[in-house]
Amino acid sequence: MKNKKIILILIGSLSLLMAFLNIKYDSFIFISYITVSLIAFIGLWEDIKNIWYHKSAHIIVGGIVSLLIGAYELLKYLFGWLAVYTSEGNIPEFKIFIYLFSLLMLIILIQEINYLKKTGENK
Amino acid sequence: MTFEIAIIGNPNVGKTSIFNIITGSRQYIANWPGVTVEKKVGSFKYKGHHFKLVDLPGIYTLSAQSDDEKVARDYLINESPDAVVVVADSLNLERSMYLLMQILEMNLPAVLAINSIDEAQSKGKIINPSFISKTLNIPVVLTSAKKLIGIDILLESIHKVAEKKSIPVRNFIYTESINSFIEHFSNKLEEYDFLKSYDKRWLALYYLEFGSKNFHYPETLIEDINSQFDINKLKSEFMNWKFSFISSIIKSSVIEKGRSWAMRDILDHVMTHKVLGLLIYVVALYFVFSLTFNIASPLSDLIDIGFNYLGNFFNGKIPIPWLNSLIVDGIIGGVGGVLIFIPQLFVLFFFMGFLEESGYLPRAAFLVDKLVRKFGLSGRSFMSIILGFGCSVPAIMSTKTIANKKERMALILSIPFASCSARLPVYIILISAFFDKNAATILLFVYISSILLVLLSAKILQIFFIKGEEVPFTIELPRFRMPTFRNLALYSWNRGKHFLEKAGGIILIATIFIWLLSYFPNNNDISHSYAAYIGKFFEPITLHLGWNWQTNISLIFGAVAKEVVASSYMTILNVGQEGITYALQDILTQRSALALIFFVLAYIPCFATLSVIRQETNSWKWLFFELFYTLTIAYLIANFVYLIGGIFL
Repeated sequence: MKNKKIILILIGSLSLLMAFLNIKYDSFIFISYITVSLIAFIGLWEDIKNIWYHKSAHIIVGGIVSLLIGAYELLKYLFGWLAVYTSEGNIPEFKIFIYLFSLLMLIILIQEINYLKKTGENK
Repeated sequence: MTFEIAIIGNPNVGKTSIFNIITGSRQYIANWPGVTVEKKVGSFKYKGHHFKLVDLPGIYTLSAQSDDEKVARDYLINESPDAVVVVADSLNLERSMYLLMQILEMNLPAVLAINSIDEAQSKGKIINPSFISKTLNIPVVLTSAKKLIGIDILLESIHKVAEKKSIPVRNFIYTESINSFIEHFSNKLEEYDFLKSYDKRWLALYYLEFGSKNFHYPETLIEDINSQFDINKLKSEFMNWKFSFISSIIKSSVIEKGRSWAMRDILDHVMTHKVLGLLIYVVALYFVFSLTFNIASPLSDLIDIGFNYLGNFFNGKIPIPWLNSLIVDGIIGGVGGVLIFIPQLFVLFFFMGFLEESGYLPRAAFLVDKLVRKFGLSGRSFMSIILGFGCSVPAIMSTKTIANKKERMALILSIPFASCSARLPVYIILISAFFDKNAATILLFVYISSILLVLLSAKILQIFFIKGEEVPFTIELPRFRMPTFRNLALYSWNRGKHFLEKAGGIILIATIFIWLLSYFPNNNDISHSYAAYIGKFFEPITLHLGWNWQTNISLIFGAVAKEVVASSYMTILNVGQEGITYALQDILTQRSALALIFFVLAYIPCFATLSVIRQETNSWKWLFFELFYTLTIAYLIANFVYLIGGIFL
């Protein structure tokens, strides 16, 4: 993608917001969103070694960690339902925004990889 | 007739994968260097011949500085295999050629297998095997262990080489000064009978490359050679020749085209960042521990329902009261109380396996190298520590790849502090009972503390007890790979199987023994049983920590295998998984439970670990030292945690 700075600011701000929205829900999710946010904001600074894929790398790794959060939440939700039947646990919460965020990051990730495939050949 | 074939290569190039395919074995393969630290043997039949296949440790050179290199070199010298398969990485062929040259210098019949050819092709790399084959006069086969490419051709090449009795002539054209050195050295060797069985050219070249440190050259020979030649100058000349020769082969046989970036570089750019890298590592561990609780707990409940049903089924059906109690309370309650943690263990193994398999683990080692150096260790040691999260035995064995003797010794004695999976059931019952809302966070805290404890222990041991010299650390970052489900399942099964074997063996015996002690002499009042008497004997030193006789007796039997602490609680408290929470809350407080978790983390290693410590240190002294050392440290930590816990809990 061309506007990497905007994408990184978007990822950083959204993940920070998600972190604070889920601060009481799950500490793993909170820390993971903070990590995504840091990955994005640190990506805004130019790399000391001037590596041309610096910003792309931060977008991609941020995307992977976000997918990890989505996968975790989905597993937690599904096994939460199992717990309802095995030990009469509480009905698990369906956190729609976590899935939507992961979906958004998946789209960004795919777009960025495709962009690299097109432009990276000429570097 | 049986032919003996050796497989050798750099770490993490797919030797064990090829070994498994050819022999049909199921040796575990991981995506990090140092998995095979000792040789493994398998066999196969091909065209009516029997073949014995020996998988040697992954090494870069035959210098024999570390134990794994020594195992490989000594095998090649002493066993003279009928063929040596050198497995090379197609994406890093130049580095593998250095080891191949050393094998050829030993004048051994070699076959070069250039592995992961599918990955090379996908990255636009074309390798011409015939050029390498003609230059070095050896068969060269392109293989992919993952996609089963070239295995038939490899078998045919091995067969041909092993059947041939004579080794093809290889005339490497060295410089004049190197040739005269080899000639002089070889002539001198004639004077020493015990060296006559060795290849003279190899001995000369080995001395030139590695000196006399790791091979017993006669002193008179060395004195003579050093007086005749400028060895440092010759060594530099020889190494220059060798690297130029390798480069020329690679240039002529490998064509690279295609894109100028790889996903590996992209991921490494962030994952080896000094701040983000560590943060991502913590997130990865946190992810594993969170899933250990979230996914596995409902599955664990299902197993518990099964054991409860089994207990209820037998209860009252056996007319002899003591036998009824033994089966229901002792065996089903005790062993079942450990088996319910199978889901947690398998989830932990599966995701830990993912971290190893994907190539992430060596990156973590690379990241912490600077930090762990302050504790007298290297990043390589960190990989052994992480391996210790599974089991201390393979973790201690993996230290064979550490060349620095001082570092290795300190690590062997400190690895038992790495929290092995046997302790997990104990953590789970205690964390579930006292810290249910922050279970994964507490578990992460325990594991990070265990890493710090290993580091501190290694530092203390190196300052006060172990002397030695420093050796620089190098680590190769393997490619990132998407782990295959088969390999992850194999990884989880290999570790989980060990747990199941223990449940049917040592845990069962210990559980029966605990039941006997708690049932007799007075089956109506457990507080006057033998178990209570033994436990109460230790109460003067544990009561201030909030541990009564039930905890003490569980800890005593836990010395055999840590899972026994959990099964002992189940037997003594005579409750199932659900009841254990309330029963534990009756006998422990939050801070005494936390102190207990840390005591279990650090105290006496299990029998299997002690045995491997004795084997690797080759000393009874260190074994007894370890017993005393771990027990003292554990007791001190428990007191410290209890004290600190008093402030926060």
